[in-house]
Amino acid sequence: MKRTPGARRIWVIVFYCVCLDGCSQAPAYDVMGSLFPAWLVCIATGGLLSLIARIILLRLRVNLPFPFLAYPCLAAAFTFGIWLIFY
Amino acid sequence: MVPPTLEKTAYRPLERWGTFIIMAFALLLGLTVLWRSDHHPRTDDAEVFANFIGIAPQVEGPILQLNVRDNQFVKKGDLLFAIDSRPYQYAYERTLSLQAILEGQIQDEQRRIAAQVSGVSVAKAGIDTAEADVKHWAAAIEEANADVTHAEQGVARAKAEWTYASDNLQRLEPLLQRQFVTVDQVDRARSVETAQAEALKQAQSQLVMAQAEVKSAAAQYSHAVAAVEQSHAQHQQAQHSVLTLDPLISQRGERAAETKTARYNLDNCAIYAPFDAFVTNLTISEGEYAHVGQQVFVLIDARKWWVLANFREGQLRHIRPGMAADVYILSRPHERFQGVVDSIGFGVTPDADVLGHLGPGLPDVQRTLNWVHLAARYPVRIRVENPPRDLFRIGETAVTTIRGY
Repeated sequence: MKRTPGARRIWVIVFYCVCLDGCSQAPAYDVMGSLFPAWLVCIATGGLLSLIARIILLRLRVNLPFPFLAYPCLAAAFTFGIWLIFY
Repeated sequence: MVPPTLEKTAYRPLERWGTFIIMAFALLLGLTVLWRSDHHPRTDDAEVFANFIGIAPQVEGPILQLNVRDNQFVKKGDLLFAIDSRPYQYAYERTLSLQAILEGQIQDEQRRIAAQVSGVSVAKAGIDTAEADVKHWAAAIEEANADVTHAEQGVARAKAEWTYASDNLQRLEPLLQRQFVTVDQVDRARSVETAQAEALKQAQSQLVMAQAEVKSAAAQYSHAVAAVEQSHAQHQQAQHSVLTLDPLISQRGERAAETKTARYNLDNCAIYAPFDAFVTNLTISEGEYAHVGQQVFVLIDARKWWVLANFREGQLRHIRPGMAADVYILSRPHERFQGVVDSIGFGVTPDADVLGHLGPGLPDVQRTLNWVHLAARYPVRIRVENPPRDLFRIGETAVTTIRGY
C-alpha cells in the first residue's frame, strides 16, 4: 500500500528529470586520478539502494515472492533509474 | 501479528505482484536505457584536441628578439621572434644596386644603338648619293652620245667641204697648163683642199674622242651602278649590326625577382603569429641559432577546439555532421559545453587479426577466428562552440554525448 505513491513519485521525478535533462555533471568520476565511469557508480548506488530497500521492506514486514529475483531486479531498476535521471 | 508459518505462503495481493512489477519496471528501464544509449551515443573515450603547428623560420640566423614566453596566449599578428635581419638588409641593398647598374647599362646601350641607327641613316644617304651618281652618269652617256652625233655631223660637213675643195683643186690643176687660171688660184685651191683635209681629220678625231667619251661615261655609269649595290649592301650591313636592348631588358625580370626575394627574406626575419594561439614547448632563449624550416616551438590554434571521440561502428548511424553534442572535460566535471559534430572519420587501421598484416606478396589471412567480434571504433570530430580561452588543453580527457539535431 505504501509503495504505490512512492512509485508514482519516482515516476514523476524520472519524467521531469528526463524532460529537463538538466544536471550537468560529467558522467565520469575522478578518484585520485582514476576516472570511474558513471554506470559503475550507478551500479554501486543501485546495489546499495536495493539493500536499503530490503532492510526497510523487512522492517515493514513486506515480503516479496522470489526475493532472489526481486532484489536484483530492484537493484537493476535503481541503477537504470539513476542513470536515466542523472546522466 | 502474522504467524511465521503464514509468512512463507500467504502473500498480500500487492506483495504477490510486487516482484512482477519490479521485474517489469527493471525491464522497462533497461530498455529505455538501451534505447537512449543507442539514439544518443556517448563515449568517455574522447580527448580534447586542437590543430597545432610547429613554427619555423624561413631564413636562418641568430634570434635577437624573443617576444613570447612558454604557454603564453598570442593574438594573430603579434611578433613572436625576430632573427638578425642585417645580412638580409645588406642582401636587399645589393640587389637594389644591381638593379640600378642594369638600368645604367640599358641607358648606355640605348646610346650605342642610337649611334648605330644614325650609321644606318648615313648608309641610306650613301645609297641616295650613289643613285644620284648613276643618274649623273646616265645623263653623261646621253650627252656623250649627242657629242658623237654632233662630231659625226662635223665629219660629214668637213668631208663635204673637203670633197668640194678636192674637186675644185682637181678642176683647176688641168686649167693651169693652158693658162686659164693663175698659179695663185691653184695654190689657193690646194691650200683650201689641204685645210679642208686637215679639218676633216680633225672632225674625225673629234668623233673618235666623242666615241671614247661615250665609252668612258658608260664605264662610269657601270661603276656608279656597282656603287649603288655596294651602298645597298652597306645599308643592310649597318641595319643588321644595330644592337637590340632585349638581352638587357630580359635581365630586368631576373633582377626584379632577386630584389623581391631579398625583400621577402628580409620581411621574414620577423615572425608573426598566424592566428590566435598558445605558445607551447618553447625551450629556447635569445641567441638561439634558428635554421630554415626547423621548428622553434609549437603554436596551438586557439580559435577552434575539438573533441575527438571514438564511437563504435554501430553507433555511427545515429551520428550525423551538424548534430549537437554535450561535451564534458574532466578538469571541469561540473561544466557542460555545447559541441557540434563536425565530421566522422573515414578510416582506421584495419584489425591485424582479421585482415592480417598488409604487405606485398600473398594475403596474410589468419587461421584462427573469433566467434565474437569487437566493434571497430571511429574517431568523430566534435567542434566545441564558444570555448573559454583558458580551459581547453590538448589531450584532456573528455566525455561526450550526442544530442541529435
